[in-house]
Amino acid sequence: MTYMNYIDENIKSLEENKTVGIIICKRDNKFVIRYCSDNRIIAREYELV
Amino acid sequence: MNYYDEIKNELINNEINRTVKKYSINKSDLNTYFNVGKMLAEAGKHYGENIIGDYASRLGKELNKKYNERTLRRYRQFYNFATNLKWSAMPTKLSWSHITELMVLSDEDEINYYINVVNNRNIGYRDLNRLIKNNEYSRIDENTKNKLRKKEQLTVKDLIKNPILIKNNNNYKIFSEKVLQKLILEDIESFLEELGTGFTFIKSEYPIKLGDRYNYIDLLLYNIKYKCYVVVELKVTELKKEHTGQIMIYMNYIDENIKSLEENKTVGIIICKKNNKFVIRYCSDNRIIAREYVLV
Repeated sequence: MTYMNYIDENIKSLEENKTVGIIICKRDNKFVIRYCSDNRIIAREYELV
Repeated sequence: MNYYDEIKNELINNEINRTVKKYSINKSDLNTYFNVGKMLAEAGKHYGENIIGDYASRLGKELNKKYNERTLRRYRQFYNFATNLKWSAMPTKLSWSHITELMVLSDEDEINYYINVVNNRNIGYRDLNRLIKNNEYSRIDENTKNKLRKKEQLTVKDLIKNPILIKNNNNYKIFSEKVLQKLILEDIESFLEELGTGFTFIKSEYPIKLGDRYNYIDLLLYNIKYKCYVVVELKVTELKKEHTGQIMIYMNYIDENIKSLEENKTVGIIICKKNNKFVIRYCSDNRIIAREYVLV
């Protein structure tokens, strides 16, 4: 959240939309996402192939 | 005749009379000291400073030794003090001892703040002295001071002091979050007063379950004035960006599982060794605030 807001405040221009955040992790935790009130953030698992 | 009721009423009336008497005695005292102070100021102008000493020795012989020079000077100081300031609250509820504590201050807003504290919390002059020594007014947020000046409504976060003073009577050397939590719990009342008004303690190490894992909220409080839960996280380091995300999860868990519909949204306080204004600035959740702690 800190990184996204930094970008919004310092890099993003007014016409651009709010920054989005993707957390790529080994294993998701649906409760962490459920209790995250910031809907610009999503989480995705990765898999090595 | 119902003897018990009659007896009880007599006693109640007496208690009421005594309280009213105490209040009017106090009011009479303050009026008197103000008038005496005014006359001392004028006498001083006409006859010079030494007149106060003269009057003191005469009063000591003719009336009572307690009217010594120091006391007379206090009366005059009180007259100057009262005429130079516009008080927002009627000071007649304050005793002379309270007022002598306040006379060392010069900032009108600060004086009004302490007057309100005495009126709201009914504290004695010794406690008032302690608050002034601990610089309570200077530890209040600048925005809050403006709100107080304009007599605006305050929010739950407004009176949280910065830094929060935590007593370290046992002088613990090795310092961890566990120790900080222990110190807070040892004198939980002082800690709750540092946060403002209406804060009550529910539990420390409050367990919440996220999936198959338990997490523990350092301190879970409830504010009965603003009707909201308060999650407190303790950090003995500088405020880090991870802390705001973590406390937000806890606050939202409480909102979803514990809070009832009529209650307001949960608020979060991160108490840390050192603040980081950038972490707070880039935290888009305004229910979260950070405060530093200082051991005393």
